[in-house]
Amino acid sequence: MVKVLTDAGAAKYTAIRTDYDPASSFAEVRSATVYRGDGGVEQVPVSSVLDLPQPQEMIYWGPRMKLTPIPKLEPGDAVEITTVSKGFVIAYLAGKAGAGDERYIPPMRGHYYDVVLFQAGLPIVHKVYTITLPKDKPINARVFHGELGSSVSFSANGLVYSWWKDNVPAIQREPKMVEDTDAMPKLVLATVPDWPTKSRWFYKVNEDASAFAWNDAIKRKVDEITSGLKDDDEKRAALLGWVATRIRYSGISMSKGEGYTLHPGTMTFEDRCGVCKDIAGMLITMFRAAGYTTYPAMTMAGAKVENLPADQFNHCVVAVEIKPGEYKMYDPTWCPFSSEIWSSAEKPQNYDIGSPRGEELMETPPAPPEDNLIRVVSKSSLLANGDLQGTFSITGGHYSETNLRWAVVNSNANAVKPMFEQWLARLSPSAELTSCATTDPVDVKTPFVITLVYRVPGYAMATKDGLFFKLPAAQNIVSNRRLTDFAAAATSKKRNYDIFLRATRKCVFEETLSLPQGYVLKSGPEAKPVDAAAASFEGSASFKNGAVVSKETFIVKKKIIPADEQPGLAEAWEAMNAFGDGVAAASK
Amino acid sequence: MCKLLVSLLCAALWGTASFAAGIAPKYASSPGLKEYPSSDVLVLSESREYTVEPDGRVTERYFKAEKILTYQGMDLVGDPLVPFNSETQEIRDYALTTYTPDGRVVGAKANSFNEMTPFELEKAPAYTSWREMVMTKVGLDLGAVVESRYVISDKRPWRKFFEKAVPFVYALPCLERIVKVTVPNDVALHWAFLNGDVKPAITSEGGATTYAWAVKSADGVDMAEGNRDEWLARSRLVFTTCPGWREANAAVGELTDGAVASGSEEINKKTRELVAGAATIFNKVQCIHDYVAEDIPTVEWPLGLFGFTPRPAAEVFHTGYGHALDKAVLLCAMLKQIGVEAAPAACALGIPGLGDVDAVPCLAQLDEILVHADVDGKPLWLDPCAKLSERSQRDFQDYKGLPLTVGYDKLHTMPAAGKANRLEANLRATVTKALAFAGEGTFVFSGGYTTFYEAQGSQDALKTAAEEWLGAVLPGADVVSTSVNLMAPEQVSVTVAFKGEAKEAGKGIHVLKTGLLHGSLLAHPAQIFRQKRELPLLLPFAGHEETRVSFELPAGLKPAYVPGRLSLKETAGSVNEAWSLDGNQLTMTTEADVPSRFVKPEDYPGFRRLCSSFAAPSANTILFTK
Repeated sequence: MVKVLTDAGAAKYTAIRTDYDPASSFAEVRSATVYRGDGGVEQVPVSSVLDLPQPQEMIYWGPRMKLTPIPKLEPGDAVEITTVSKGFVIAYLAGKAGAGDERYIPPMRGHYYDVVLFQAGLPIVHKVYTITLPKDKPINARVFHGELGSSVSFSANGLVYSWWKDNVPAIQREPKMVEDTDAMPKLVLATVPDWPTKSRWFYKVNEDASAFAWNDAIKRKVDEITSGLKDDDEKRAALLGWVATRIRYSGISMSKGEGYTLHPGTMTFEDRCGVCKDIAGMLITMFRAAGYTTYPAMTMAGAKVENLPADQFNHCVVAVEIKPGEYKMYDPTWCPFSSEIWSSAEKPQNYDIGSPRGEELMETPPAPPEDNLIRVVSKSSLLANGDLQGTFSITGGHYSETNLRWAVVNSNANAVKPMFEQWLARLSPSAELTSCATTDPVDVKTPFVITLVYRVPGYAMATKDGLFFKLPAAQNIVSNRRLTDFAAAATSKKRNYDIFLRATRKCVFEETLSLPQGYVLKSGPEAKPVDAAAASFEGSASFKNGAVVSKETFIVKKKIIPADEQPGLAEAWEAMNAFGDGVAAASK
Repeated sequence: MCKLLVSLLCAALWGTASFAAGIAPKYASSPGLKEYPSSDVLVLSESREYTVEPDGRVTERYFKAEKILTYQGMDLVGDPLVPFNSETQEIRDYALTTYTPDGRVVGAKANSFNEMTPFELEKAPAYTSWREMVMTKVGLDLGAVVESRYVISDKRPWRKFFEKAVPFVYALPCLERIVKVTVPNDVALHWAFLNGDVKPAITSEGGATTYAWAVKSADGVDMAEGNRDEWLARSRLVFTTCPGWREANAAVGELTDGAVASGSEEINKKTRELVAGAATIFNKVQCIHDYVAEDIPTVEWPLGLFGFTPRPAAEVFHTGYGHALDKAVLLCAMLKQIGVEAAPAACALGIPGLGDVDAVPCLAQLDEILVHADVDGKPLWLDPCAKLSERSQRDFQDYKGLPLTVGYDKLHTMPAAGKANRLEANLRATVTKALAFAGEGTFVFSGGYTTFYEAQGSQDALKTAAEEWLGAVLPGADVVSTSVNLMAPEQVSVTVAFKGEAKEAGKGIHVLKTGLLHGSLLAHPAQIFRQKRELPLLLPFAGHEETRVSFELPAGLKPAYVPGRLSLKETAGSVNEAWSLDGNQLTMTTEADVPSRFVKPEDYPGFRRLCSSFAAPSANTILFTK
């Protein structure tokens, strides 16, 4: 039941949506009642509930929804809805689901799991979660990020577990905060005894579905891709590159078995599209065709997996057993046009490999900031009238390099030059891009370089015998939501929640700015060094051989930054910006 | 016929891609990335064929063949959405066939075609008969050619008239684009090809006449350059079976009048609640309008697809959502409750260069709804989907519209703003030796520049607005107090007292910055970072701007840097900026003139120079050294 407090709140409740997947679940709206603030009660006829296809984007598996129209609510009104559902929203099995209730049987037959949040975007007066289990069915359960009331009782039907929480305020979201599951009070429960059991199930369910069998066409393609390559790492990288770029992310349904069962490699090879599990399945198929012992793995991109064998996964990747019990991880969904085989955006990240012997929950190690280098080298020259001309050379490592490649290859062909023009506009609104060039963004074996040649009329403030100017390299021209996601976290005020960044980062800006003949640097911008737990900054500027030479280094040391370390990130960020805003003075 | 046979054969080969050496012969000589290096996909051919049956039912047959040139191209065209109304229409005979460079021919299976409820309609149960068919293309590869086809046919006659506005230029280049319209011989088709000179081939057969427009080798346009108004500069075909604006008005006006008249006690009660405490008629109108604009969710779906059919006001209110015309109907009904006469109008921007919306009586091109309200004998134009502080009459300049209440037979033009478009500021400040400053200045916003709806209503609104005005011209300065000289819809004049300081930036260097006035036509036009454009740039209006900022410096303090004179004259306008130091008096005067709101692509680089010259640090920074 939801009580509406304002007109804006009422506007959000024109209809209530209840989702289900017709392949594996059932949903019914039993009743919907509006309690008016003046005491009136209105029943919404259940006959008015619509059964519709859900809106979908990128994953087209045919899910449906019950849409309950709600008569106009006024502040003070409340709406109560009762729904009944059975089954599960994602179909797990490729097995022969029978008629009737058979299709609602969960993939791990006899097991149950759930992850329940006890906070939301709206304040909650009371929330309770109750589950009844057979007396001989034990359950693992744990509460995270706060406390919940709880009880266990028994009845003729079995053991009854309840958890509840009262008077929970609405969450106040913060920029770049960790996922809700890592911030809100959370109950995780599972009847699965341990991770190896889950691992073996995941292995078996896909083997039983023959998901990774290959045909002649796939074998021919594998041979073609690996032809001439001697080293196993090189061969696997080549296969990863092909799958990552040629299997488009778009999920069409294979009907029964959609979910944790990967599409057969033969199907994906023909369709050339799929979601992460299908892209992973294609790579597993090709790795196996090439002779590598390979398994699928479940992982959770963007959030933590608690050490309790519930399904806390949203992503599927690939594990190659390079020695008994030793794996190398590959992620074809996150590594298109990348020199990485496992994205630095997934370091650290939990995963569980589906293997015949059964694996424990594992975690990838963090990526050192040096891996994800962004290097901007500026070579420029000032004229006595204040005009500037120069060249930016932009390179990167690992995740940063991948993002530079993506900025080009994932943009429309006619939007690349305007994007560079937009970057240059950070230098000055009057900046003119004279020419731009990149190395081949698809060739991941060759370091990626963006070269921007430009001029800026009236860049420096010119007097009769002097020039005042900012250092071009220090103007942070490279900026987008992936490359510089830390900026939003650095500028936010007081934080209650940890920060989740795409990756650690090391940004280096180097400048060689030639002054007009006879000019010397009188004063340059001063850097305030910062070395905090989360981030650091240092910078310097000097005059050498007729040029201003400067170097700045800004490092984001952690991918997940504890809330209490945010001030260090902010301090380093502000120090870098202050250096960029600093005005240098040169004179004859 | 040949294409159809191949497609049918492929469609029959579900799951069994056929192989041959190289791409299918019919596409073997098609151009590629070499010829189109700035494109991700090349449309080889596209055709839309509309057939109007004698009983009014319409069938649309669509075909497209496109070649994938880049990886981005696969994502760009991989999953197109085809809208249709499942209640009145049927989508059928859909098929996708991919021909790859290595000779595969991949036919899409049934799982490639997924019907969904549009995101825009998921909270609007009354409109969920509208669906989108997602057509997921399979087997894509670089150099592959994909054929798409479908048929959408009316299940029953439901249209008063059949009409469409069909662009002939899109984001992707196209070798051949064809639109055919077939109507019974006794039905007249009115058409105009706007922003282009394309005549149809006309043929008659079997009691029907077919008009066919064909354009070869149309370049693509980077749609991100512009907004929906600027997109109107593309060439487009507009056609209708409606004989005139009188008939268009009659078809919708009667429905609209009826919908407005269908009030309810629920509406009356809410209206009374909303206006309680409002002192003037204008305040009451604003309370009601704010409610409809903000608290009745807008269904963002093209009005033309809804056939300009509103639901009754009582139903709109009871369900709590509506499209723009629904919301206009509710707004009119509520305004009538307080004695304000109001009526909606269907509008579009009507300025030369965008195509004459009056050329054909096609309502589908007037896809913006405004409400005309008579407030104390003066007209007040309201956007039912945006508050007055967001959109007001100044934003509707050059609009043309058809009133959607019975009795009108022609388009009307929005009256010009009551005052000339003029923006002025005059500020004086005294600077201390510590490089702090304090002073006051007057801002005058006239005509299109008016800030009336942002600033009026409360002291908080005025202070927030004043902070923006001051922050634009003297970045970093703080408002101390404000006093209103004039607050009227067509002109606002406010005096602002302020203080600030020249901030240190570098060793012993202090910076005092100035900037363009708030609302200046030269301040941050969208996409101004682009060095050239293919679409025109549309400014909100033409205008004239003047600024004077004067600093009295302490004795002995001389700036280390003062900007020089700036004077630029371009086709799109002119700017002049001068700084003078007369004794201790440092004065900046600027003047900008933009004579037309329509900046042609060829004039855009000059307009960009006007913007960037003012925005460059060398033109707006004063430096002091200590």
